[in-house]
Amino acid sequence: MFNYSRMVLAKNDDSSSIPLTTSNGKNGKNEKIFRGIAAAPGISFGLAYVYSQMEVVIRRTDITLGEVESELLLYRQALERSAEELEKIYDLAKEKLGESLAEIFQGHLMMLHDPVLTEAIENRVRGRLNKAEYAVASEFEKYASRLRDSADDLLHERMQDLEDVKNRLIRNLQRKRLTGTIEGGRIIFSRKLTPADTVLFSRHNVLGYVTETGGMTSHAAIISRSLNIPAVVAVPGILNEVNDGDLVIIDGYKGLVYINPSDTHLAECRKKIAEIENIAKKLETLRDLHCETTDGHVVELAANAEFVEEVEYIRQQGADGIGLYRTEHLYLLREEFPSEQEQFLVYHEIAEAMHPRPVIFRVFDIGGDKVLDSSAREGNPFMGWRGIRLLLDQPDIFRAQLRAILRASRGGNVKIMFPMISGLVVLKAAVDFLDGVKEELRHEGVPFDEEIKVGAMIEVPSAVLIADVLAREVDFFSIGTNDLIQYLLAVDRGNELISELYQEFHPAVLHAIRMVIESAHRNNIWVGLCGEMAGNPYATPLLLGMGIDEFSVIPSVLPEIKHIVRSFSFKEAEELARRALDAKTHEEVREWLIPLMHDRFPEFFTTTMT
Amino acid sequence: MIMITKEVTVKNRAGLHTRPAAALVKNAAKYKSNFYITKNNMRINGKSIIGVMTLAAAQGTVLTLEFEGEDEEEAARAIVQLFEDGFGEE
Repeated sequence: MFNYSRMVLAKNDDSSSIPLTTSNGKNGKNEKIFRGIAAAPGISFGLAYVYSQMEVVIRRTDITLGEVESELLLYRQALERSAEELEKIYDLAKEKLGESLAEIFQGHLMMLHDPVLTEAIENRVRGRLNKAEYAVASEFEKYASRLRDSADDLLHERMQDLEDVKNRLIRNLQRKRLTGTIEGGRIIFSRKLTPADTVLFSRHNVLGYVTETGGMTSHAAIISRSLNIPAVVAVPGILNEVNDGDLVIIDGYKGLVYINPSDTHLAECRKKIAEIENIAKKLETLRDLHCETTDGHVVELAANAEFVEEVEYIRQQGADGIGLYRTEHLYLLREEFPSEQEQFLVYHEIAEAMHPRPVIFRVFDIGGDKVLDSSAREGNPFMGWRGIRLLLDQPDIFRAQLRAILRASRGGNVKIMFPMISGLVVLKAAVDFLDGVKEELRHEGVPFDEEIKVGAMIEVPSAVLIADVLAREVDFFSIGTNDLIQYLLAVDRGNELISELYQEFHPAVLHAIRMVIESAHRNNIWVGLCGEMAGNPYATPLLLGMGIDEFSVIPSVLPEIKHIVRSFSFKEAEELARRALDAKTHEEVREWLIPLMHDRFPEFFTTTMT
Repeated sequence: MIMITKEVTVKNRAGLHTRPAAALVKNAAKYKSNFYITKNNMRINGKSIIGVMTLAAAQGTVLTLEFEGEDEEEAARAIVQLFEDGFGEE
């Protein structure tokens, strides 16, 4: 039921840091507020469930010669139970998340059954008369230390997997039950969450996840988002502050966690959830309506997507299409490039599911660190060998992906988009390469959409300045504001020291967007915007008024953005855009824009908790 | 029965990461022969997924494969083929 809470509200406005406040809360307990990274949106409140992973210290215990056989039997039983658990998790993951995410657990199964490891463990029990759990811990540690010492990041990830398998085996040796005792409606607190935990907990109507470690792109965060469960990660020390059964609020929009919330905050949270549900109900009626201003100016409202599993939700939200399908996860989840056929199956499934609505596939936008040996890392990968630059240098990877996308284009609703375009030569090279691949397919008699549309992502400032030149080479533009703003303002928004300088309403940003839109329209192509700014409700009237043709947003905000578009006349939006373009600073825009939007849409914007 | 030794080069782009490592181990398990892989001076049992992973063999790495046992010829043929096919990836 808390899926409603995915209705997104205002962006983060306050910027206080941890520990935020303590005051008198429920039952005389002190309210404590913590901030972490908002990893998956949504709000809920409930009782805390503190999930302590086994970090048991296993002391060396010996057995007698007579106990060897019974100890080995224990070990084999534990192996069997662990395998059964993993099979279940694998099935569940396959059902909930799809094959490619589920593969992680196949890997776990293979490690569990590793013959060398198994033999070494058994030999230790027999020869050194070690208790099985000590034997398991020591043998796993041998490999773990080797992986830990490695400079390869991917091997570090694998070490996590190894650790998970070891802990599972030891837990089963100690005959502890799997955490099956969670009652419904708990918020899970944990040092870290493994993908397996995230999948398993989701069966118990989990209301949220709070972890001490992790980031936006950890497997658990990705899974959490695709399961619609709010999550706040990277809250160091929270486990020392929370007790099992504490009442907590999790705000996955702002990355806030309230332990023993005050009556005021609890009331606000309840109110917010109720309002979110209300809004959701109201917005549902918008689903089948056009994204159209009061005076008949129609724009396309599309969704950004990553997983096949999101398509159903995206359709429910009334999207006109997928404006940005990120393909990187196909690589990132398994750390190698999927084959053409594997890609084709995914792209085909998405295109079919959305048909006849369009799907824009962005080719791999990954950095060189994913391909290069760790010894050859770049000094500044963000400005380095990534996106289209990498693909043009790696023709096999590029060809396989383009072939897969083209083969999936038969239904006529597929488009291709190139990231990191910084100049005409690069863009032309990409388009030529695509033409070559098309020719190949024609030659082989493989059908594809001959009319397939090709776009350039505008996210490098140079591309903004020469947008007129680029526009002649493609069928559409999509402005990637996340990177554009960072490059334009020289601000890494992940850097807390300067993150307030990341400003969507900076005059340079607004003028850059306007320039791109004007260039596109002068050359008779359409232009969309697929960065987070497209889903920022405050920005909606400005972008609309500047003439953007398509918004591509995270699915949860779709109805809200549609509602805002439908509340303005194009004329009024144009006036607001002009006013914003006249402003000299980001702050100046916010000064009038925020109160204006709050007045106009009190139901969206008053619900933000302070 | 003597030991068979073969040299192979890792062809697939991602190196011996998760999926090819799994394919290698699964195939090796079909044979009775012992199977070892050496990279530089690190020698691991080729039937061990964890061992193969810790090799961290990137594209272009040269590996020495050793097969020893009653079906060593078949095993060598099949495993070398796997490397040559780039583990079914392009």
